[in-house]
Amino acid sequence: MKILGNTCLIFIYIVVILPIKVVSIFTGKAFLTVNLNEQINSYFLHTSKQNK
Amino acid sequence: MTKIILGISAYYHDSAAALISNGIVIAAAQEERFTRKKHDPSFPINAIKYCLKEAKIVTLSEVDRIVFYDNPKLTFKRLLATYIAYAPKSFRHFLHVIPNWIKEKLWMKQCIAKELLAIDNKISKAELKSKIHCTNHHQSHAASAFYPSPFSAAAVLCMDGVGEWATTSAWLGKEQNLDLIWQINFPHSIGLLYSAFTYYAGFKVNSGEYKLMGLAPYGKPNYVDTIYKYLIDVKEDGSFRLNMKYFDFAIGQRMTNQAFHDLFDGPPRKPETKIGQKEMDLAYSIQQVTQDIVIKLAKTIKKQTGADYLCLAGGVALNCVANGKLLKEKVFKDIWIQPAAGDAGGALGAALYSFYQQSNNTVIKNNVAQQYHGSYLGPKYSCKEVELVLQSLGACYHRLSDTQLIETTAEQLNNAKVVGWFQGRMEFGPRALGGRSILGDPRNEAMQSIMNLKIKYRESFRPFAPSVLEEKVSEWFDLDCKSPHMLLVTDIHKDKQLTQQSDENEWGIDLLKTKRSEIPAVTHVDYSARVQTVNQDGNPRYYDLLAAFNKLTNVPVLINTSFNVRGEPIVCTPKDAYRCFMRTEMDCLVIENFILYKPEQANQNKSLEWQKEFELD
Repeated sequence: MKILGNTCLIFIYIVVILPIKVVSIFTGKAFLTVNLNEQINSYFLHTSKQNK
Repeated sequence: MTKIILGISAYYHDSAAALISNGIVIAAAQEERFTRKKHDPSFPINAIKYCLKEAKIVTLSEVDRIVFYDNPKLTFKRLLATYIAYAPKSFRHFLHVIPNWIKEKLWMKQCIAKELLAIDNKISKAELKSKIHCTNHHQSHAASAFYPSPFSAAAVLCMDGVGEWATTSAWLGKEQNLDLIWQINFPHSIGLLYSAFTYYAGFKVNSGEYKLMGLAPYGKPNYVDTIYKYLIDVKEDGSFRLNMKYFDFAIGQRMTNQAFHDLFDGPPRKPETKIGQKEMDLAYSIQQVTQDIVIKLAKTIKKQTGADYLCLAGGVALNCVANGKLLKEKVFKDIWIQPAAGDAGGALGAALYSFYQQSNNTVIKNNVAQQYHGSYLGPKYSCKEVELVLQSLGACYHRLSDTQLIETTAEQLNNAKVVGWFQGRMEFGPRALGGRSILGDPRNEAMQSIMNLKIKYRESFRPFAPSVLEEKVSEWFDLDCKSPHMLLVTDIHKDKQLTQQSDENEWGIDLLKTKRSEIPAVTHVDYSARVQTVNQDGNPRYYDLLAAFNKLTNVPVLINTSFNVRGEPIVCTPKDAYRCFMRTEMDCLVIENFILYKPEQANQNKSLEWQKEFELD
């Protein structure tokens, strides 16, 4: 059962997570802001930008 | 009609339950106190049973809403986004974490309903599920800070590791309304940054942060520039972003990575090994950075809201040194900090948020502040119950009148005895406030080391906190306001400080050798102290004890530390208290109107084997 579960998870990672990552690299859409950006004055996210 | 709401926090750390009736807090407790497992993350079944009993609720049908303090679906989305952002490095973490989410956390309502059916099998699962709701993590924190505060309007700042997406958030509270102004999202977290240094200094994440804070005064700001240059970018308004090149917490089992270790010239300190000047300097530096950010954020919120008052919650709000500095800056007229600022307080906040926001109630908010009971929201035991327990344990005890009890205990303290003090309702939150405390004489120079090494069995560098009569606080400390929940650090009053006699060459732990004030046992090496003010209304018996000690000694101050040993949750029941008393070198134990002296007790076991029972924190 555990082997089956893990196989499913590996499948999901390969067919969902990795392709989205590849697409995000090409489209420039970041899923998490992890780089420092010196160009803006504030890192606050106001109500309209929450949880994106 | 009475509206009863049960708040629950669980599954991460510090599980807890809280119960409110028409917005008034009836009971709240952490699960760890019942299971005796520190920071217990399991479903708080015992805490819930206690809350229901305290409110005299027989069946869950009488509860209108059950509110979980976090939104698992939002957290799951954040996890997926993290896995995508860090692919393919995130693969192992994905395999490790996701099964638990698929099995349990994604179906939180079913999970909670299943657990609650164990308490009450008369209610149907469908009815139970219809009562269960979720709030957002930071909503819960903000509500736990604003609604029990004495302010009808205030800005609220929440700072913690992470809750769903948010790591830092600002709110504006006005009567029953609580509105979000802005937030900073994961992975940029001041709480996780502090935890990364906690980990690197060899302490446990989610419990060792206060040790790092206690270690800071031994150090120097040698790493402040490095932290600002490489680890965090802080804007003028206090908003910040971490340089994730140095951290592993997003997808790893560790907080820091090799780049971080290279930056600070070596691997993390191994737990329980000698603490060196490097750890002390790191502690000082990250404390300095944290304070700077907190003060900048507070100034920004003041500018944005124009509010006179500030409420704080989230794990970072337990950083009482930063709180003290913020108070001194006088950005706001006053600040109020939720005593259970960590995730445990989320249970209370979830219930309060649900009551005020989702139910559209128009109850005057200040009722809550009046009924908060100074955070004494846990179980209490009658003299009859205590006596039965003491008899069953074969303890030798003396029953005293109220006056005799206070006078005898004050005399014991004056004679350099260490006293276990168990009175009334247990505190909600990590601080002992005179309900479940170990007390000592602060004038005694040796007391700091005696209590650390022979009573608490903990690291010798750690300071002890003072309780002081509220009306005398400004005579003894550089503080002119209340601090009933021991969440503010300030300096010992200049008049009580002794002229510096320390050796210039003293550094590190050796700094402890110098007597710095008239109350050396509660004076940290930088002359600071984490103060608790006590008044007659908040805790009358503890107030009377402080007054009696003052009458004997002219010192209205006592050492107050939590009633536990290292790694053990604070005692909850008289049995826990007796067991802790017998295992340590405490001299006497005062439980309600009973006093027990150590030499009179039979079956004294000097073995320290019991210490293996508790995992070191």
